[in-house]
Amino acid sequence: MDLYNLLEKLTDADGVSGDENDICALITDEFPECKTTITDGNLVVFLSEIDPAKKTVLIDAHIDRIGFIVTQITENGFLRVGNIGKTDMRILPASRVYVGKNRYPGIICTKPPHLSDKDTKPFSVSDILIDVGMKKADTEKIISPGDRILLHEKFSKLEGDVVAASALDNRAGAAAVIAAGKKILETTHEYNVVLLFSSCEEVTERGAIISSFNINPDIALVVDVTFAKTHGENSNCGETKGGVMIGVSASLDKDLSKELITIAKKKNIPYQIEVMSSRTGTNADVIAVSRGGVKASTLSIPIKFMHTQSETVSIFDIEKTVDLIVEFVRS
Amino acid sequence: MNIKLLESLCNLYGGSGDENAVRDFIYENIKNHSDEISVDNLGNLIARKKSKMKSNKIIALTAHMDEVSFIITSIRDDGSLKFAPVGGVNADSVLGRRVVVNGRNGVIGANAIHNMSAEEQKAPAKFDDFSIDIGPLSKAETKEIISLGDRIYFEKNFIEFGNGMIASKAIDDRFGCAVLMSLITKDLPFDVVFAFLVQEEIGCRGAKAADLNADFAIVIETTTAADFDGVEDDKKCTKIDGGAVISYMDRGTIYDKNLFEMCKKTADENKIKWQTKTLIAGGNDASAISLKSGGIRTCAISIPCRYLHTANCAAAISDMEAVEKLTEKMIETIAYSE
Repeated sequence: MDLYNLLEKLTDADGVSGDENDICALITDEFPECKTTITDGNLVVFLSEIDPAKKTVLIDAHIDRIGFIVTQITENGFLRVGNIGKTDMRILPASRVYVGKNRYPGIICTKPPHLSDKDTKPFSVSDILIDVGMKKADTEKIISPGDRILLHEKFSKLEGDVVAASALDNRAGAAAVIAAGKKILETTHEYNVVLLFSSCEEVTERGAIISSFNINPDIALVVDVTFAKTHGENSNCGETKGGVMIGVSASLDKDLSKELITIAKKKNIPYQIEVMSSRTGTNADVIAVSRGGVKASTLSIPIKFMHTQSETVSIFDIEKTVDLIVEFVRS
Repeated sequence: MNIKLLESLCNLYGGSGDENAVRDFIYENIKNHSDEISVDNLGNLIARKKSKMKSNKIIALTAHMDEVSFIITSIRDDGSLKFAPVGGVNADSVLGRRVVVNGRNGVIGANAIHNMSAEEQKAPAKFDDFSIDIGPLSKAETKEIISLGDRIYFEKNFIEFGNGMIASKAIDDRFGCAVLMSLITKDLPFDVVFAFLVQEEIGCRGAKAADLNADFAIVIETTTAADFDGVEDDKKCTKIDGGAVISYMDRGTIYDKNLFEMCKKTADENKIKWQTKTLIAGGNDASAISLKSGGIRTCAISIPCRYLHTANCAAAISDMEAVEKLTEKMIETIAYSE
């Protein structure tokens, strides 16, 4: 399947945490032959009937994206906002945003040199003022407190197979789970396989908490993004084009991580190991402790510039994630 | 205001010293309206248009073609590009922006904020900490397609938004170019030199070089507007939808007092909204032009513009129309006063 097109479609969709219904509908269309449910922004896709005799594998990718929420319209018609998720605040001055379902364009105000301090400090959320180019009365006609705000730039191809887009966290993971789900439909295997496209990971991991209880899986693979190394970093980041990253952590199931590594080796799937000391910062943290416990591990796709409007990812790394998911279900 | 024309101009890539694309576009569009058109050694495009009326003196209209941009200064070992601004771009308004390098797409990025210490996160933004990423290329592969000194532009991004607002990377000063391109098509009561100048953003160098040979000059520009919540009135400098900005003084120029008065009077007589700056800030080609040829009497008429020198300069169409109309009327005022 064409991962470029899928990723372009997914990254162009809105879905700031708590507003995932449209992206749920968009992904539902990818699985016309499957039973699906949408509850509270969570899309569950059953790749087959649940057979109680078989173990259930849950494959999760969160579909919410970071952004802002309108809290107030000011006297001059500008917007004050609250944070949804942890946007990299260094990118804010003069960034373009889109407000509400109709995507009214806006610009995050930045003070000209004559007003700014010499040592400009990064913004805090209370500093944010959004210019929507209207006086208060006009703004109030089309924008209301509670409207979501997208930090958004278009999908574009860089050199090689790398793309730059907004919301690759975690639409890259969602693309991998969609592509893997389609391949699994054509494969024979021993599991009940359930895909979860979960809401609100960026704020409370609420979608995964609620849905993993309902699905009651035995095993969970949590597909999310992680940090790819940029020019100044020597820490334990992944490499772009290094392959899928398999999570190893005190909070993840040791045997499951080991099994994933074994399969990757056996099937010649390029992989990297992502060591996390305790919690993973993904939905695996909450799914693992759901309903008597779930054996969980993480499969992560390395991206650069996380939580900016211009994250980058290599299609190769998504493909390898798809391969490992499919081989795991087959094994 | 011809918004389509402005959009075409804003979507071109032309930084200081690299204005070719803008100059070529303007040249093609105005050559049939000029009596004489030439490009000087520095790259200034100078078009002269004679009036049907006899005029003993000459008026110059100027705008600059260059936009703020960046230049590649080195290729790092991991293939990412180090860069520096060309013109006054603040480091705090570039991260996450899409850019174009030699027709290739890129991203201005930095280390993930999540992996930085609290102290590092609080430090002011520095260009040296950023890089331009064009894809997963090694240093050797990057060298094959990128040369040091290559230019980088904010990706074209023209939009209309809100109530009659426009946002784009290059309103400064393609707006001025658009006004000149519109006026050159009209019958004007004076001999006019239309000067499309280079290198304003790095010190008004095109204006210094240009052979204008004029008695009067009107500089068409963009100027700072900080008219948002939390800014006191006297610090706003100018206001969006407040009309054409007529300058009396900025950091580069004390403007010709008579022309300033004439400009205000012309605006009032023609019911054109106008304003002046609330503080002495900024500067433009007038600083060089007013000193040329033994002194050219110079005024500046600008639009108020928010977020200047960022990827999203924002301005109102109503102000653009006010500047265009006032400029046309000022030519008449000067012509009939001579």
